[in-house]
Amino acid sequence: MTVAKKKTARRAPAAKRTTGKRKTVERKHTATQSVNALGASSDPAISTYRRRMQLVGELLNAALDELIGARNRSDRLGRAAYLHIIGQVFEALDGLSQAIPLDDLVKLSKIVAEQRRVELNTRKVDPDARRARNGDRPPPAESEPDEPQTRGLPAHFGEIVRQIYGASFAEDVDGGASQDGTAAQPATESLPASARSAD
Amino acid sequence: MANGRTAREIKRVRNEMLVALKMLYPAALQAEQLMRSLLSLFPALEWDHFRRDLAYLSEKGYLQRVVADTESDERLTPWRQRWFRLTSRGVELAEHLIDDPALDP
Repeated sequence: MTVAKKKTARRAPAAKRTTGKRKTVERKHTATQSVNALGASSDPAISTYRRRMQLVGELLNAALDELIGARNRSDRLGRAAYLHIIGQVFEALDGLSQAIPLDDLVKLSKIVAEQRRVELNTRKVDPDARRARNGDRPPPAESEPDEPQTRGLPAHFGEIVRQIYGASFAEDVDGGASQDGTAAQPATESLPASARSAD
Repeated sequence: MANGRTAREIKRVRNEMLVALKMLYPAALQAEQLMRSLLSLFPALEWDHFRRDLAYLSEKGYLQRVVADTESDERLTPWRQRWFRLTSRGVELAEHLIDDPALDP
């Protein structure tokens, strides 16, 4: 008695799992290429920078070849002058001639940061001074930002102001609403033009 | 991380310093000029880190300082105004003719 063999579809042989290994190999190779900073780089920013430096170096050496080649000769210019010329040419070729000096840049950054701090402190102080001047008049309510919308400002303008400046567009400590909404106007005027809607 | 920089970042900056000076070789470049040039690649590069890298590469023998004849006392010259160029060994490293595990990625 013969037993019928169960017919099953022949399975295709399992494909060799080489993709993973290949990917790893390629990844390593690629990683090596991308971080192999002294060779070719796959990072476009680095490639662009190196290409520019190469061109600057070629121009520098071509223009000042005699000066560089004469560094061991006694009739050569003083070393300081030679270095100064090299530096000036490099700055001109590398596009640094219009750059702000680092020290000035640091000073400018500090000035801008200080001005920003003063502006933020002024905005925080102003609502209190305004309340004190207004006496019993409560500050405008949160619904106040809707009014500017009718004047062309975007919706949720108060929220935008709060996120940018950390101060409420309409002071709502007491939770009250202003009678006429005029208290909001100074805040609008003090805001930069970019915070206002473009008509 | 060393002083807020990863090992990879440190190596990248040092390698690009060598590559930039190799492009200009045998000319020298002032430290400040080199740093400002590298800022286009590494906007977060800090002067203190860059100066340490200069000192490190100099001690390794890849960079040499070029003293101008107007520097009365080279020790008093601020680092930003010091001139540096590649040595022959630095050129060989930049051209892949020799290896340095500390600078390999």
